[in-house]
Amino acid sequence: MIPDDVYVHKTVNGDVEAFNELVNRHHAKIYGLAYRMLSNSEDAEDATQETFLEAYKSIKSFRFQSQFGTWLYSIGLNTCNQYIRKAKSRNRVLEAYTEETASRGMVEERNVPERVAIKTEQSQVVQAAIDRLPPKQREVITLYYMQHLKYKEIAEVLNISLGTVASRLNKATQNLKTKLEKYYL
Amino acid sequence: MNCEQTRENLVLHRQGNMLTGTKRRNFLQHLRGCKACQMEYEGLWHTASLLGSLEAPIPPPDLLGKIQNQIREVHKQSKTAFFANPISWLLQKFKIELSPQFVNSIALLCYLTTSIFLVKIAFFTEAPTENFGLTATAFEATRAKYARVSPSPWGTLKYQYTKIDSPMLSNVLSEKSISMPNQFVDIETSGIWYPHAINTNTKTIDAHIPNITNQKLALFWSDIKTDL
Repeated sequence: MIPDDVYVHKTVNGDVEAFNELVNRHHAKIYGLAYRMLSNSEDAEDATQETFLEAYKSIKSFRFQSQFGTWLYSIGLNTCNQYIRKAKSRNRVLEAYTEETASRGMVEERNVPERVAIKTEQSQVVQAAIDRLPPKQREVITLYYMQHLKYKEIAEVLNISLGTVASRLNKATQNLKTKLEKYYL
Repeated sequence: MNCEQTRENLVLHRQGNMLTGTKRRNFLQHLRGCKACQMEYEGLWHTASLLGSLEAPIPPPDLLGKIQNQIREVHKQSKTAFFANPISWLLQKFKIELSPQFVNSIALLCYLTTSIFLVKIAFFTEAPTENFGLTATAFEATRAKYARVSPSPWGTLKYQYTKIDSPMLSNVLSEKSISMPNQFVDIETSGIWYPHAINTNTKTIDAHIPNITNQKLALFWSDIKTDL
């Protein structure tokens, strides 16, 4: 399999189809990341498109010091964070409504029977728990558990130290455990 | 290692060999003997398993094509020169697919033609004629309008009834006014125009109508010149 770097070089030299091959290789991963971060398929689709568009425009700034995929993840996360910020400001007016819905959701969750083992329901519950994490914890959880990145790669994507990755992941997992333990205990 | 320290390291232990050496030994020693930490570890293990078991969301089937087309579009735009952007935008609106080089050529041709036209207007246009930019046709139209309107008997009759007391006097005055060199001004300013003079001396009036019209037009243009 031809490495990503070869296609990056070709793209820099003006070969648009080389970049489209990179899109072909990475679009599912970036969509997965966006979906977990935004928990909305429409936003995830838009964020994926924007990520690749941004990557194409700034491909000349890629220095080959990390994997192309890692670089793409960092652009993807930035895009997702922009979406989260936008959504927050959009929803500020509806804050009262959202709080009410969230509290209702909590009540409903408490009443969910233990047989939440059905796959879709389970994934919905986990996704809802991830959504309630602070964005920084959501990032490490998504990158580690869903995108299966190594600590070193996460550190590169988020531009933080390995220690920070470990402690953030620790906090995030503990947080999720608290939110999810009622479903498996 | 106490419970708090052990719990801080639970995730690190669960997530690969992040704990090494003495730290790992102490951690495992505490975990073996502490029921609460074992429960905590079990919970963490469940959470991690749950997260790991989540299936990756499948992107919509048309997403790949959408992104690739968008990238091609951006690439095409980047090949189009900045001055061709308006034309490129227009072509896009009408969904006309042309190569960037061709769009650039069209844009260049348009700008060249416009420049030549502007240079011609600015430096090679003749001085304005005496009719102050009005074309001959417009001038003729004005003349025709005045020739038609001026001899109208209704206007003059109305005028006469309000101003003339004596038919004799009016006869004299109207003849006088017709014979005067500046008849048009005279007629208008004196406010005297007797219908008999028009009806009885038709020939005279007919002869004078073009003169009156011409003078009226001359005055009209002279006013415009003064205003300008």
